[in-house]
Amino acid sequence: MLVIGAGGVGSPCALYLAAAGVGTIGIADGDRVELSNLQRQLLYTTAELGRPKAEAAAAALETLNPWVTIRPYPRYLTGKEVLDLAGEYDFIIDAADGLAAKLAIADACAAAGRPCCHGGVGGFLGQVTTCLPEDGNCYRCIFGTARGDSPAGGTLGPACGVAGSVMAAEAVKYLTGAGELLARRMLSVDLLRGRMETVAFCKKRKDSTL
Amino acid sequence: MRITALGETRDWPGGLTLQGWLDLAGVENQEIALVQVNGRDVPPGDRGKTALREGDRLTLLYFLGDS
Repeated sequence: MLVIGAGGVGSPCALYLAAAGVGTIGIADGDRVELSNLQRQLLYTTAELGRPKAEAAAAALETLNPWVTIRPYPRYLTGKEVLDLAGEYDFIIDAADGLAAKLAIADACAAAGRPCCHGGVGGFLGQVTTCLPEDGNCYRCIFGTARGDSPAGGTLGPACGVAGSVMAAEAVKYLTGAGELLARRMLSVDLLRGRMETVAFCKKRKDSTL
Repeated sequence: MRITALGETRDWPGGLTLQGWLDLAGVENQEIALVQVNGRDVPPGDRGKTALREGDRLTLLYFLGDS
């Protein structure tokens, strides 16, 4: 698994993947740990302030499960780097910040023919979808013309936990073939109102009912 | 007419198009990535042509980009 973004969503996702014993986990992030991160980025403690997140994340994951191989990438991956790296991983987790980064990841995964689970949060809200190569670049199809703003006022830690956990579950389901992936569907979570909704989209597949 | 959107069922004026509803609800078109009426995608260009009916269920999908 390649986890791009070791922040609020990437943290719980990577923790659950390491705990599950996924063989090799790449973790990429160009940021350093800051105090304001700690309310939602569970990979880190005050002892890691100032440390590159990818390195701090790797240490935490290796402590959790020393039998998993962790490869840290302490930098912001370009679209080309994602394209080059994607071939080394079975499944990509997009836990990156911002529309431009997420679209670049989506484009690279589509070009590389790799499945990618995209997750995002804002305020009390979260959303997760999994794009499979055979469905094309679903993420760009939906969000390619979006304005890219997220709700103002910060993000609730548990919203990150929910989204990151769902993404880890998607990865495990992909690896094991269990259950149904969130392919051509978006799971939307509203913790403020206590609601979850699955929105189906994409008419490209022949078996689509849309 | 009663329309369900954003988890609530409320009364709205009759004769609304989807765009009319978005305007009344204060939703800017650029904020939303996807709008569905009763589970069917409505492209942005069709929002002004899509008439809403009693009992319609609207789904709005926003971009969330924090992490």
